[in-house]
Amino acid sequence: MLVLTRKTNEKIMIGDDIEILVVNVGEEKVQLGITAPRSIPVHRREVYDEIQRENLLASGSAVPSLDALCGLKIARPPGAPQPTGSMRAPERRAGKGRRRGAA
Amino acid sequence: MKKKTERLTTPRFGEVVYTKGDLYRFPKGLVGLPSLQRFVMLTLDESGIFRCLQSVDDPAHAFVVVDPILARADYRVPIDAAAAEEIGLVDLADAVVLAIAVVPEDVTRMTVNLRGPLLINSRTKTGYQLVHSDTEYGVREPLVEALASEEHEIHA
Repeated sequence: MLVLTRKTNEKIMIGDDIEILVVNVGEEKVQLGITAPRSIPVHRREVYDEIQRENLLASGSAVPSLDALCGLKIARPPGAPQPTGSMRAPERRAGKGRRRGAA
Repeated sequence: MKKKTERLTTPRFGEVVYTKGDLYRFPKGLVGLPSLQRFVMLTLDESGIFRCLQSVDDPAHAFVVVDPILARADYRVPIDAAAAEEIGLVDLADAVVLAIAVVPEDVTRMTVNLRGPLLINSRTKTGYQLVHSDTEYGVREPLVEALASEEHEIHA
């Protein structure tokens, strides 16, 4: 890892178009200003990790049975989006043109 | 002309039949899972509340998704320009936001991730997972708790 020492208001360039500015240095916190192209997402690492962890958990979890889901009796709130595909038990077919407007 | 159908064998749903037009594309994949870029959306229950994004790239991966407002009626998510650009979103009316659920054995303890919602351009079926940092919403918001208490009221 490259370690650089910077003072308040000094910058670091990463490549040609990513710029990191040391805005403020406190006792336990550093404030950084980041300028990057829109195509480069900038996130706090722990939030990114948290979402990644949930994604892995979600993908590994079993898909609930139809019975279990029906038992939840969730009322569709007004304005909720329409289903955009279909899987009809028992033939398990997806997207057979049940969507409105699908010519 | 009959559309050519593709077949996918999945561990959870058995054989899934779809056409190319059914595919949802996430050009960047999901957070931490960049190789999962093509999905088929399956409806799990009759009402269509519970759907599943079944990965075509790796059939072992499937994500139960729900409308995030089921968990939090006041749910709002900022759509930044970069994300919109990523999925070619021009008209906000085309935007669909979905939350990924984690489903434990006891389905009533299902949680949804409101911090990493999926933003989908419904017109082009292109999606992108947002990372929603500055928010009060958590990655494990209970889905059924509020609904269960509503049910109590009904039966009371």
